[in-house]
Formats: sequence, structure tokens, C-alpha cells
Amino acid sequence: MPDEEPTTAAHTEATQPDASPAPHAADDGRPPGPATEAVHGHPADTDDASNPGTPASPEPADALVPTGVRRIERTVHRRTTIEDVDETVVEDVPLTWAPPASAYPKPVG
Amino acid sequence: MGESTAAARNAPWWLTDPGRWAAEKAALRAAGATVRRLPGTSNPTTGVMQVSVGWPEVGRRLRLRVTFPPEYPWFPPEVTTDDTSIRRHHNPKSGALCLLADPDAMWHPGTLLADLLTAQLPRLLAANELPLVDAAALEHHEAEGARTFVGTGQPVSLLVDPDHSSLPTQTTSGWVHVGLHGPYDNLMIAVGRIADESGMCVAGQDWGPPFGQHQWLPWLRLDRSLTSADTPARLWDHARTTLPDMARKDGIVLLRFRDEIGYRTDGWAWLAIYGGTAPTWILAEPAGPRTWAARIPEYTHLARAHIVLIGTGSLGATIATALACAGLGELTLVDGDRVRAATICRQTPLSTTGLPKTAAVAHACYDHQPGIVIHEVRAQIGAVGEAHDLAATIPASDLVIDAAANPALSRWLATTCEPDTDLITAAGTWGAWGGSIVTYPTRGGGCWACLELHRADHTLPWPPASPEPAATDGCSAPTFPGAHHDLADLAHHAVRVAATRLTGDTATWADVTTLSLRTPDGQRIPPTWSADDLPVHPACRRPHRDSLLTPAQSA
Repeated sequence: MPDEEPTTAAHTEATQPDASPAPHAADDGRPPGPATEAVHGHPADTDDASNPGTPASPEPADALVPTGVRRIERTVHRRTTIEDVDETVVEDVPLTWAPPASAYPKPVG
Repeated sequence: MGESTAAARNAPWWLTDPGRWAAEKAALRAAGATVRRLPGTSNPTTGVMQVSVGWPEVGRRLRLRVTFPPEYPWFPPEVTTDDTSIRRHHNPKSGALCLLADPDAMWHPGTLLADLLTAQLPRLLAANELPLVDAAALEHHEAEGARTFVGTGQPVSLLVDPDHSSLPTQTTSGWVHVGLHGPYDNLMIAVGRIADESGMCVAGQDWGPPFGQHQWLPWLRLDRSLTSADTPARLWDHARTTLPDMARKDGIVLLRFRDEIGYRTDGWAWLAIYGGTAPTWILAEPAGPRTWAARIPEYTHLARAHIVLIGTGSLGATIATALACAGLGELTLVDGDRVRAATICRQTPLSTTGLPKTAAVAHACYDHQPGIVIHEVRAQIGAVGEAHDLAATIPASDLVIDAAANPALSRWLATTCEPDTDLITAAGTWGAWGGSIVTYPTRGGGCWACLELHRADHTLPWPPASPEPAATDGCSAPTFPGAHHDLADLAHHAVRVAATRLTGDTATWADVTTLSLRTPDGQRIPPTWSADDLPVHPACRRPHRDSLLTPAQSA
């Protein structure tokens, strides 16, 4: 299928049992962070160069689902008025997850 | 300055301070010595005075010649003798006695010559006469080889790695493969492979960069120590007579002779003789990895380490050369830029303009430590079309240092190095007002994303940064204002952290070290460091490893 969109491969992999989108991911399926932040007033993933001032057309929800995840198990210690509880939380975290950009000074060197 | 003051300063010390000279004479006579100014040697123009002193010793009077420098008494006098019975701490060429191990440091202007002789001369004589076990308590444990006493005053050096100096006893002459390096008006000749007369190599190892040229020179063994009768011309005649087919008329011959190579330890040393109508000699200086490591013993472990350094700008070039100085064994330099003349104010010098930055820094590293193994990756990591194999190189290294000042690259490196390769990220801020050093894996368990989240929350300090606009040149990429010496503070601390980390020590340094050279509003302050650990940020969604700290350290 030479004309197949490259996103299809990502979609196929992301639908595997261990590659599902992380629970925290945005509703549109994109991981938060700089990679999807608006640049010059329009989303970074737009290819609509003819109309740069408008948001991009909606894309398939799984277009930017990362292809790799890492399963995390961590123990959360909860203290209530009645008892202390150790609860195991399991999350599948995309490897490309990144925090939002901040105004921290530009590095030089 | 008034004329009278200037004239007084130009007058010799014995005229400006006649009381001092009177005190010197009185003290010498009180000690039982005779003192006499040598005729014609007290020169008011040069300010130098020479006196003859007869110093009382048991059963004899030691004849001394004392030369007071023009800056006396701020600097000590030189004491010489022709008495050849004194062999140690006695320069056989000039006759000078080593009364003080470090004359300028140990001399005090309130000390009179008689005080110096009373305190030190008996020790010097005893060190010559007592058995070694007793003498060792009286002297500094330094070798007194011929090189200590013979200098040519020429910018030519002969280097020999002491580790490569063992030769078969039956080999008495042959050829030596020397490396030559002379970037300025100087010349270094480094003894490399040593061969017998048939050309078979019997010892030694060639020097790599920066010794770019190599040459075979004849060598000859002299089965004795140098004596005061030896002169370059005499040894040259000996070499030409012994090796008539090998020593060219105006060439160079290396001589191997017996000498004190360690404290009261005999061994083999080298000298080179330049022939021609007026032969001269150069005595070899021991130099090599072991020689250098002995001066910085805390860092010997670096010789076995491989560091990948990404970014060879102001920070990276300083880090690289400091690591080479400290004895690093292997270094991979990664940078896709070339040196521009416009940026030499904080990078490698003008002579490297146009070179790939990795090559320019490699040259500097070789100059600091011949023998270091350097790999160059001339690529801009992350740029389309740039070929590199860093993802494979990094796991094979012991440590990665990120000095590229590129947040995107820093994130990629932090992820690529996880979980097993240590990473240090060093970055300055605009104006070189400060900067930070971050080390992964962290003691606090946090990752690079935790760092960004903590910084966004201001739960980790922000170094000050200049609000000034970028310094630009034309329409090319903007650069930043900031001096090399300010960024060097940061670079050198990164080297300290790297060297500690390579010992396996993860406890000494905090995860995040922040440097402030200014207040937030730009006032200069003494370099101020803060140290913080990097805990997992509650909003971070990345996987985290356990803290490197033990519970006790956490407490």
C-alpha cells in the first residue's frame, strides 16, 4: 500500500494492549507539552499553510499517539482519618510525554 | 614619585640601609665568622654585593662566597662554595648551596645571613655525611639529577616518559624514534620507540598528537654519571667517535647516562646534544601520564574513563581541556559547528578559525595531555540529514556531559542516557550571569521533566539572566553577551562533578547546582552556589527510578 498514510502504522501499534493512550492524555489523543503547543498562532501539527491564522482541521484522534509507552507501578501511601492505605497505581506513560514549557531562562554555552 | 624617592629606590641596599649591613657584619662576627667585601664586587649600578665569609665548622673554616641580590633583604642571598667534599644540595656547576628548599618562600627579610648559615648549614653538611636513614629527616625528598643543575636557556625541551625507559642491558646504542612538536619558537623532542643498531625496537612507545612529525636519531649509552668535567663539546666528540656512521656532523645525538632519577635513587636519564661548531646539550625532563598523574593523584581514575561531551563552545571547550588536563583517557567530542573568528573571545583561539570545533578542541586537549584518545562526531544532533551513532556510543561510555545549551537536545540526551549512563547537563544563562549543572540519575529520584516542572513552579532556583538583547552580527543566528571567564566557573564545576561521579560517588554533589554571578537586577556578586536535590514532581508522568540516596542520606 504505497499511498498509505504513515499515521496508520502508529495507529496500529497504539491499539495494541500495552500501547493504549495514557489516562492523562488530552481528550483529542495528543500528549500534552511543547510538541503540540501552538507556534506562531497555529497548532504545530497543521499543514494548512494557506490559512496559518486558523486552527488546523481536526485530525484522527490517534494521529499523534506515541508509539512507545512505559508501564509504571507505584505505591501511593494514603492516610485517612480511619487508616493508612498503600495503594498500587499502574499507569502506561508515553515515552514522549513532556511537561509544558515555562519561562525558564534560555540556556547558553 | 619625587626625584629623591626614585633616586633612593635606585641606590643599592647597603647605602639606603647602612644599618642592615652593619647588623650583618656584627652577626657574622658574633658567630665566629670572618667577613670581607670582595674588591670590585659591590656594584652600586647593579645593586649586587659579594662578600667572602669564613664560616667556622668543626676542625675547619668553610670558605663561602655570598652574593646579595639588588632586592636584598626581600630576597635571600646566594651562598656558594668551591668545597667539592659537599656533594648533595650543592650545584656542581655554579657551586651554589641549597640552604632553603624554596628560598623565596622560606626566606624572611628579617633574617640575617648569619642566622641563615647558623640554622641551615649544619643541616646541609649533616645530610651529606650521615647515613641515609638519618639524612632523610633533614632534607626534602627530591631527586638531585643532573638536570637540576644544567639549563641551556634555550626553548628546546627533551621529554622522556619514565615508564618507557627500561632497555635491555646488552643494547648500548641504536636509534630512537622521536616526536617533534614546536608550535611557536620552541621545540619539544619526545623520546618514543627505541631501537638497537640493527633497527629492531627494544623499548618505548611513540608519542601521538600533538607530536605531528617523527624522526629517527642515533643514541648512545654512557655507563657513568655526568661530572663537572663533562661539556657538550666533549660529549659530542665522544658520540661522534663512538658512532662515526650514525652521528651526522651537525645533527643530534641522544645520550643515556646514569643519574639520580628519584630521591637518592639511581637510574637512567637522557640528554640530547646538538652538534655543529658549538655543540650544546638539553637534559631530558621526565614527562608522561604517570608524571602528570602524580601531581593530581585524586584524578588517576580518569585515565580509565570515557566521556562523551556534546557541545564544544565556551562551556564545552573549557570542560574538554580541563578533563584532558586532569588525565581523562578517552573523550568523544560532538559538535557540528566550525570555529568562527567572531567568537574567539570565549572559545578556542584565532589559529583554529575555520576548523570544525571538535578538531579545534581536540588539538587543545592533545596539547594538554598527549596520549588522550579522542573521537570526533562532527554532527548537529537532531538536525535532519546529520549522520551520527550517538545512541550506540552513549551506552558504551562512562559519562555524558551536555554542554550544548539546547533544551531539545538536553531532553533527548536525558532520555537516551536513561537508565544506566550518567549525564551532566551544564548551561549558562544570558549574559553569563549564572547557570546550572544538573546530574542524572538524580539523588532525589526526579527526571528531566521533573526538573522543568520544578523550575516552572519555582520550587528549584532560577539562576539570574541578563534581560539585554542578543548580541548579533549581521543576519546570522544571534549569539549572547557573556565572558569566557564567567562561564568557566560553571565549566570547571562540571568537571569537578564529573570526576567525582566517575568514582561511583553519587552522594557528594546535589542534583542541581545553581550558580549566581549577579543579583537578579544585575549587580555583580561573588560567585554564589546553591545546591538542591531533584525530587519527583507530582505532576510528572514519566517513569522514575528509585532515589540514589540511602534513607540515612535522605534524612
